[in-house]
Amino acid sequence: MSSTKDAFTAAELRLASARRRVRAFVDQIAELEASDFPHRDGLDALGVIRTELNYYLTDMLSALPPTLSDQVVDEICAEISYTVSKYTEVLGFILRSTNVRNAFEVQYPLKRLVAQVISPEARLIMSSEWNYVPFTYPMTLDLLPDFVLVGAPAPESGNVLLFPLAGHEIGHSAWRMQDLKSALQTDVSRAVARAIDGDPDAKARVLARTGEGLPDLQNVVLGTAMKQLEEIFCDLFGLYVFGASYTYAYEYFLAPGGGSRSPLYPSGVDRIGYLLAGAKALRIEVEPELFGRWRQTTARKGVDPDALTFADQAVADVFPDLMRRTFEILRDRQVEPPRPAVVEQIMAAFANRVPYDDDATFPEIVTAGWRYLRARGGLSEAADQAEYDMLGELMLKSIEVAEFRAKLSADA
Amino acid sequence: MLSADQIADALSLEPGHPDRLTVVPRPDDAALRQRAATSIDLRLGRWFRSFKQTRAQTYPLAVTPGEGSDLSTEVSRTKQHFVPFGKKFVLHPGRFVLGATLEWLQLPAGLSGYVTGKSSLGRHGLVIETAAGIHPHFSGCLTLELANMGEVPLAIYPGMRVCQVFLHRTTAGTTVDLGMFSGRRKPVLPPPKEDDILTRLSDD
Repeated sequence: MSSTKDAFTAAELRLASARRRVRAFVDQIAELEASDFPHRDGLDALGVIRTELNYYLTDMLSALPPTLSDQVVDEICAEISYTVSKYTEVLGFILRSTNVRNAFEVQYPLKRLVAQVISPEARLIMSSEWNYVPFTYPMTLDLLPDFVLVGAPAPESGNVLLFPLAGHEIGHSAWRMQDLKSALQTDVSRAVARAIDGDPDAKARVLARTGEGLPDLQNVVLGTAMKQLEEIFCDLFGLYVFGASYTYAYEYFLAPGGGSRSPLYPSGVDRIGYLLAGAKALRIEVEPELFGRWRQTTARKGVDPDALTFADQAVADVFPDLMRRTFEILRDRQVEPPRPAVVEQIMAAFANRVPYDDDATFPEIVTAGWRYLRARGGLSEAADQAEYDMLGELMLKSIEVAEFRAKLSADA
Repeated sequence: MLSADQIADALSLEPGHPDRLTVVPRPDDAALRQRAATSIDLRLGRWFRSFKQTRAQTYPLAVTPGEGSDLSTEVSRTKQHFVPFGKKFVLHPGRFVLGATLEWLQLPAGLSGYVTGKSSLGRHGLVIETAAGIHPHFSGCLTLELANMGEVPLAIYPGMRVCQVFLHRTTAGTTVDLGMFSGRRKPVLPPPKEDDILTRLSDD
């Protein structure tokens, strides 16, 4: 834009603001790229975002004709605002991936898992959130489709014991990669139809209440059921990969259950039921009292209870097939569940206060860590702090030694 | 001082044996015996701790009444770095950094040792604190004090051989394990400890 003009239109000034906003964003990326990245993937993600944002600057915003209508200017500015606002959060996430509070040793085994179950080209960014929610990413990032983002709550991002929950989040990427939504579409649609037709009174009630037709109701229930199935898939995925440690980490974070229920998740008690059914199928021993007093969630206001019941019934109907498919996918990808004998050996090493010095997987190490912790009463008193800290050190060192051994055997 | 065969024998004892020496990852038994050296080579770990430039004029290395007890911790005085395998850490001339061994050591009650740098590295100016004692019952990764006393920046790599540990038998008395759960995988920088004699000497 020329600066020799006497007056500028509002549209020209709005576009100038958009340019400055994008430039500030790109400049910030350049600063972040100078950070100390312990692993390459975060840096690569910044490069992808920078390329995309540069497109706005060098192609879109600098090549606009002067006759552009105000409406088009507004559309461009809206798109830029949306993109900058969405990816500012991601920049923060990537920056936090460099923080030394993170358990950097976990990157190698988690990335191998991602390569095994998603794609060898998939990248992993392990970071932290200033939000006490377990591993809230990945959100679907259009710009970063090949990146899996897992973020532990910042105060515990170095706590290896929480990492089984990353299995759930990696499961979301696996769900998309396997396109399970399409694979299950027919079966779930039939299950939804059966659920709705199986209760004519509820069907009539909900149709009268919403004023919608049957196809609309079926669509709503189908969408709800499919999202619930995705969450169950992710739980089964985490359970298969991490074994009993998934149940411990789940309990650590979500006990005693209860709270408000999103319709996109099974009810709290149903979800535990599916988890326990999966554990039984995998012959994973779950401590009887672990979920013994789990509280039920309560449905949010505004959610139609009959429609939710239809979705719950459809989910229950499809669950056995979903479980079979989930375990088949993981077996096909040669993912081995934790081996109980190795877990015992790792626990014995920890009891001797040394890291495990043989081939072990990350899930085996973290399962041993959980079992050691629980056998020692939770190690939560002030007097237990040194032992608890050392347990974390032993797990992380064991993970590092496993990487060391894996690299040596790969080169052999 | 333990011979190569004695070191290998101590490493081969069953887990839980009171005389067992543990080094994780364990060195290759055959290579250790074949080398016939009286030490075990140790490798550089992936965590480093460098010192921040601060506004503080001095840092007291002892607790004295006049200085008070407001001593900086390793968190506030240092910055941590993690370097993956295959990457390097550059130590510039005149700079000093804390590193750690890749190996986790656990000494039984009857063994103690000391760590020395490797002469092949020292000749390039990389100095590692010499004769650092390791007491019976020690468990953890050894903190290494690395200084570049040469004139060119030195690239050091996690996983490279960086130092060696010599071991002796402790021949008299009994030792007590005072730090059962003190093992750490990162370099540590403990604050100075209270010293009753120094305190009394400092009294007016």
